[in-house]
Amino acid sequence: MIIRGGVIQSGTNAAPIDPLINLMMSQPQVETNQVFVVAEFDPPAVPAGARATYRLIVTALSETIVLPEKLPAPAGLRIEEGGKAQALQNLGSIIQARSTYNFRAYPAAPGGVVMPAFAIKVAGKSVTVPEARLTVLAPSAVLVPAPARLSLEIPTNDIYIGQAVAARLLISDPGDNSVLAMTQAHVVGDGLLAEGGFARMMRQAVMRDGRPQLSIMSEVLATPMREGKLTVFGQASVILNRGTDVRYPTMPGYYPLMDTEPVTMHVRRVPDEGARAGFTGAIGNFQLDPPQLSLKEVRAGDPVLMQVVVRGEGNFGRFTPPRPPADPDWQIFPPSTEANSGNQMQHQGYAAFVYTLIPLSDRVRATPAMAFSAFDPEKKKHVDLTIPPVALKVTPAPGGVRAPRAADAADAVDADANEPTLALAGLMENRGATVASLVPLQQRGGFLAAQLVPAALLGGLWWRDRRRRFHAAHPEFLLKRRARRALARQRRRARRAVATSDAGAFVTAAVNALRAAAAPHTAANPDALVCRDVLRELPAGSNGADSGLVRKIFSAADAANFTQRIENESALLTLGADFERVAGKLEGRL
Amino acid sequence: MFRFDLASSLSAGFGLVSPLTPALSPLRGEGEAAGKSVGTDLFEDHRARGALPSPLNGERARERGEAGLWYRKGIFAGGLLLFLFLGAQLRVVADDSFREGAAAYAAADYARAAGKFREAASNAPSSATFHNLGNAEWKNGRTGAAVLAWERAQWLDPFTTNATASLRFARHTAQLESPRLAWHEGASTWLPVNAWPLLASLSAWLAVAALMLPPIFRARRRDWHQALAAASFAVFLATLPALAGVHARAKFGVVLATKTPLRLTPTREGQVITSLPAGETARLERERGGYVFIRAGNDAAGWVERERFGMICGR
Repeated sequence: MIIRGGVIQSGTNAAPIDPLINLMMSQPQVETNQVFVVAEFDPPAVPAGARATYRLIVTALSETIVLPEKLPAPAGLRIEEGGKAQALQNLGSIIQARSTYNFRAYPAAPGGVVMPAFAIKVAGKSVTVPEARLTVLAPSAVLVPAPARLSLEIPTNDIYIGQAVAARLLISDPGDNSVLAMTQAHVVGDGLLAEGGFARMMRQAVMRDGRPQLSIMSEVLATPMREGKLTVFGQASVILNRGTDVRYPTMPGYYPLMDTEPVTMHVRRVPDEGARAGFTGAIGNFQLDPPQLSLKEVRAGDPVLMQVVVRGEGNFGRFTPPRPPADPDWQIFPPSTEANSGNQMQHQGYAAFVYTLIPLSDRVRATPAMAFSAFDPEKKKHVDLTIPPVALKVTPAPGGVRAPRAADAADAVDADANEPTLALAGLMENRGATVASLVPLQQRGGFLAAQLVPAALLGGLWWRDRRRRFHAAHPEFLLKRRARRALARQRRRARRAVATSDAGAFVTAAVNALRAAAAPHTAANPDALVCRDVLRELPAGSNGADSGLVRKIFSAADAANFTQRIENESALLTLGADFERVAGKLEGRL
Repeated sequence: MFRFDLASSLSAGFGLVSPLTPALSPLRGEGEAAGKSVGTDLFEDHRARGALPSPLNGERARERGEAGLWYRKGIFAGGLLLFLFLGAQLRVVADDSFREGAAAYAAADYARAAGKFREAASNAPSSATFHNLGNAEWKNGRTGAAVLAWERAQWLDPFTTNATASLRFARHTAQLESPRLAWHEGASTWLPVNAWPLLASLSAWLAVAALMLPPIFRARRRDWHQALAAASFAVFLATLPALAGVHARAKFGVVLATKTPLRLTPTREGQVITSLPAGETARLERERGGYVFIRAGNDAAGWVERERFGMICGR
């Protein structure tokens, strides 16, 4: 790739060149080889004490120019720093950069004043600024025609930080229609932000020295950014129909830079007294249009757009839209605006914000109120501009159910106003009643097991009552059971008596056993039975031996009772086996 | 309260006569006053009537049985005493922790306050302790733990206005939704959770007793017997929805960590459906491994890690 004269030429084997790069490289270059310097007084003659402009024009980029810290002004000439600007002029094959430095010059006495030549640095090289001459007339002298002069009209008092201030730059025509227009109007000052893109120019008649003069006016929006005194001045390039090419032969198409006398502004801070919620820097006289919703009915979870329009006069490009409140029933996204920049918003004269809101519940009846306020510099007080709620019907989300409504009132606004103030409750002083576990009682095994206690109690009572009723209806069961128990007890005693060879105890136990076994069948007390009663209750299969055994036992028992003596004890003790057999037969009937 | 009920139930359920409750055993008291045991007294009475033979071997066996019975009663009484002693000690520790937590909270040492209140709640849970724990956690910036503590305070005592106010404040501040309760779940909040099963048990057994006891004790059925049974049964039926509500509410929990991922599958690599904020109340539906499947208020359902989800009922 070969670069010749700023044009890229591709070789046969070179890679294709990006068309954009090719276009950029084909543009004319900024001329840096030849530096022209013009120094002049404008106008060339002024009365003593009046202002003239010492203008220094250098055909170079301002970044490459280094001026001496103090100009070598002659005695009797007061020099103050003024405006400065830079412009690029397309001269066909090259682009000429022109940097202009204005100095306000005030000659003290009539005569001639010569600003001597001096050296400046341009791109590191020393360049000589030629001398310039100013003719100073008597103080009472009047210039005819009056030279064109730039003036600045800007409010100087009751200005607040952040307030958008309209500054007017005017240049009056000397009467020969020599002033055609002005460009690059600007207001310059430390602590002042001027909107370069917002400048309106118009031609109008302005009263000057008691008579109307045709003037060119350009309006610039300025915003003070700090408190205190601000010294500002305006500047603009003025297009004259006088042949400027003659005055500046090396700078065809040059329009001289003019600047105004400095003006002092007194800037104050927006007062905190009376400040309202939702102040986001809006200063001016604003009005709020009723908010507009994109939908009248929306389902929970679906978005709805709300447009808020602020009209009036003020710093549209400086304040931020009100922040949406935190509301559990709403998801609200930060607002967007149709304007691309604050300048555009300022130019169109209103601010429009679009909020995207998503209702999270069908309980809501209206959009939430959004706190918003502005400071009115004319009334010198804060003004409430709260965005009001807008009624909205919200239906349940698909598959959802309608949430219970706290109140059936249609005015959700009033419902919000009546809500109690929410706050964190204080600590409890006493621990209060304690529990063993957070697990509910019904899910604990101990509680379920404890239910067995009343169940067992009532069940036992029921079973006992049932058994009692059964025994009342069938007493023979109870008699036979008692008889079985008594028979078993007496048989054990009889066996024990045989084992210990106690004939008396054997006979007593045997008689008691026979009586107990026979008693249930006779419905009599066992003690009341005699031998004959027992013989009658012997089973049907009993033989004479059984009857004889019964008689022997009863006879021995009677003898022991009435004679207190037992005969033939050893023979009685041998009856043990027979007694067991008879007792077994009687037990079989029980 | 439950500890007392449990002890009483255990005593009554095993049919034991504790030395701590002599009034429950008047017969034994009279026997001791006469200087002899009840069992010995009865044997002697029978022997004096001549109805019993000489009680040599049998009485020794009975004495051995009596001794064993009194040994077992002693062991149970000792265990019961130890149980009551340990319970009392836990209450004392919980009291100290509660007071120390309140002092730390007053000194703005919220981390220590939360630790002490947590210790007190662990030893002896109570509504007030959980409420204070919620306040301390909120001051620590742990929204999830604070909401869980306040929910537990409400779980134990639905009449606590402090926890209700704090919950409303926290949910409004953190933009959280209150859980939506079904009608039976809402009805279960009218009384403390443990009151419903007690009321159901009492009313049910009262209805059964009113029907069964008059004929058992050979008393005439009267109108008020029937009325009492009907009323008790009606109360029992009325408690059933609330019992179901308590059962359902026992599955509620609170998301503890901020931006808890809700995953499509119970795995660490599972696709994240959405993120849940700390303090979000959700319903547990099932569990698998270290994950639980929950359903949040906006019907968002998915799996979250178990340690990021605290159950209100403490399971």
